[in-house]
Amino acid sequence: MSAKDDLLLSMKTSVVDGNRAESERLARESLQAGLDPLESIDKGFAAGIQEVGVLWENGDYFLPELVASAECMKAAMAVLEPALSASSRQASRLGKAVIGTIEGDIHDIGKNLVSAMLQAHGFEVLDLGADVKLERFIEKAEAESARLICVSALLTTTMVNQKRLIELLHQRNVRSKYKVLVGGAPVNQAWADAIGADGYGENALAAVRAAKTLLARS
Amino acid sequence: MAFKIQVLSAPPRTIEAAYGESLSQALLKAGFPLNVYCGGKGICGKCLAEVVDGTIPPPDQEEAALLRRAGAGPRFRLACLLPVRSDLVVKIPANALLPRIQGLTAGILPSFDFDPAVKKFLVSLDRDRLSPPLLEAGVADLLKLPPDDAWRRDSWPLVREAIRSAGREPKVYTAAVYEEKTLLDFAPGESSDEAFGLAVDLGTTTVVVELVDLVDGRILGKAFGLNGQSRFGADVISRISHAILTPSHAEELKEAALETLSGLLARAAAEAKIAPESIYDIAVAGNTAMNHFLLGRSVRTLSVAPFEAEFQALPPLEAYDCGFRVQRRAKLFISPNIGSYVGGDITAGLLATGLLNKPGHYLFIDIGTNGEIVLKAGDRFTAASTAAGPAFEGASLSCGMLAVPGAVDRAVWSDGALSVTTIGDRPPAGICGTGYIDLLACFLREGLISRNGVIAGGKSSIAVAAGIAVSQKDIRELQLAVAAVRTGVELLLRRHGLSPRDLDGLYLAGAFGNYLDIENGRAIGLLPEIDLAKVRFVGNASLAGARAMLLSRRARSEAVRIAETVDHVPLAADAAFQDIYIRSLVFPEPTIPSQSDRKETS
Repeated sequence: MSAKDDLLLSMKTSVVDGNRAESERLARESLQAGLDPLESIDKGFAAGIQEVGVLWENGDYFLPELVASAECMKAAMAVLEPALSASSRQASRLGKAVIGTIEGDIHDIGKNLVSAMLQAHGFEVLDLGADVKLERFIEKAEAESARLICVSALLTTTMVNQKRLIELLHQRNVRSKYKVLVGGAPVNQAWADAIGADGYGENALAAVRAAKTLLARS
Repeated sequence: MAFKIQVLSAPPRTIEAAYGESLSQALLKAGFPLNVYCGGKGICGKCLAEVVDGTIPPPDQEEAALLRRAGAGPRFRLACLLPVRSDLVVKIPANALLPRIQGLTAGILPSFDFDPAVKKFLVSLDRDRLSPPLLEAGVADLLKLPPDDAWRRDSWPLVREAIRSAGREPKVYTAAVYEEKTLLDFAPGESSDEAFGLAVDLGTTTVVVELVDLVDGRILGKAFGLNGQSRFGADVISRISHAILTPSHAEELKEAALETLSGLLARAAAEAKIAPESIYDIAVAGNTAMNHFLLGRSVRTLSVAPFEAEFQALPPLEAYDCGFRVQRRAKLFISPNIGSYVGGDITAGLLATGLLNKPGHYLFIDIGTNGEIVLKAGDRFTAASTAAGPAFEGASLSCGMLAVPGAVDRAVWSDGALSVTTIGDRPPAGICGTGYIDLLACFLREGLISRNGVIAGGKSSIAVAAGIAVSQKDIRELQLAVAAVRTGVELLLRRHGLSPRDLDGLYLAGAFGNYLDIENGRAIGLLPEIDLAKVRFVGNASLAGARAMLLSRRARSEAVRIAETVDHVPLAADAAFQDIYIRSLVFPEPTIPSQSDRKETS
């Protein structure tokens, strides 16, 4: 195994282990060693995130591990991103997403996890926070030319606002410009279908999968 | 100049009285538990004292009548009407002592003076008193009520009607008086020992009612059942969603609550052998959504951020108009809400613990679908609710069930194997909350699961009994539920710069609390690291609080004060919430039980 392969494997392992300091250190080391940052991301850190996804699906990993790995990814990206060429930067990005917890709801741990996992998987994420007015989702998506709008709701009393958001997109004649992804404890596929959302994620990784599928199709 | 009064009743003591002071004042000042039911106004005839020695003036006509009615012997007097003008030797009969308000468990309920809001008195109307010009003011005077406009408007018509239907004959009547102000009832005959109250714990899942004797404080009957609102949703949020859709839905929820309560009331009344028409007062302890539903108040503001209640405290309401088929003028007292998701049930629970007046740092935890946590840090109270979810009630888990017969409720690890018990010694049908807590603790100690919650050896579940197992997914659900409560506790402690070690006590309320193994609760992180000796189970503290509100007017004002004093903080808005929550998903480091924890461990 070459020194480069060694380094890429270490990057992957650091993410799987949730060792943030190590991820950051390896990112710096890779730049000093002259590695292509895009390759470090793809074959090193992102490969780690993929592995975390598998461990999650198997039930071996839970939210704390997921969060730790997302933190690793974030730390590595902070080092590598400035070193990317403009074209590489474009290539490393899956797409731009606007995300927030719906108007009337303040619960945002789930939304934060989706946000972190989307970023870890290469999405550019604009997180609007909690209790986000319907108009604001649309204004931000328009202003930033985002392709994805992700809306979380934790209460049965507030999830109706997900429906209102989609209605508002129609009213403004911009519905076709965006893919709308919904999630949150009371939300399910049936609800997503009923309100005409494009996708639904049962958990943070399912949301990432849905987001990838949606953008690949469009 | 002070006189000496020797009290021969147990425990014998000698107290002092100033010249002219009433015997009842002197006794009360010295802490003697004398029942001055009417407040010392000389209208109830309950505060009997036998004067064994000493010089006393003779009783006046009114006192003599009361003494006759009480069947008191020649040496007996009413302590509230007897001015002390010499040294005395007295005996207080047992029936003149304050009734004891029954608590949850001995020693936990603080002592409130027996002073119910509703009191009944006998009123003798002889031929003189029945003469029209004197009658109106005369009856008010007999009851020591001011003959003001309110009397003429609200109370007098009752008296007039009763006298008219009794044919204006000299008679003894029984009056029910509320808060020493308003007449609730005025009826011919002697029924002063028939005054009852209904204490209600209006839970989201379970409703409990208790019939209380307002004359002697005894509990006469009790009934519990499922909240009929359950058919509109298992939890508060789904019921709120239902209610805000259309006004008829809100009406459905109100009717369902009333239907449940009237069924339970009928059962408790039958057990106590009393007529619902002799129930004069109701105290309801319920969470904020429950009391809003019951009164038909809008829950719209409870449904979305910033989650505000329509009311916190309410003046006493008309029970009959609110849908209770009890005495026509009976009152309804709603235990005041602390905040949107910390309701009157928690106020009542806190009242029952007596924490308001206790020095030190205390934690009060009520674990249900919502885990409500109140921290008393010195004289500051902070409350929060955490979304523990229904896992501890057995919902959402593969073998979960309520704590009913057949549920695995205890588990221990002994001789290298798991051994479990079930409620009612039935064959295991599932696992209830306390069972899951024991099981998780055993699995952790034995290394069957890691601190991250992963089942060892790549297995997907752990067998508990024939056909009963804990799955990996169950463990995840439980981790989330535990973390919610643990995060709440940690955040509240941090806000006040406290650690679990600083706590002087932990009160565990709720049906679940009573059977929880504390050491196991600590092992999985549900309870903070605190000495076993400092933990108190208070059971259904809400019901005990509601009972206290029926039997003591001070308890009511204290409940209002609690609701005003306790700060309600939305935990989700705390910047540290997410980090602590995620961290709390990992089970705590195993600790060696402290010396004070006398318990077998593996």
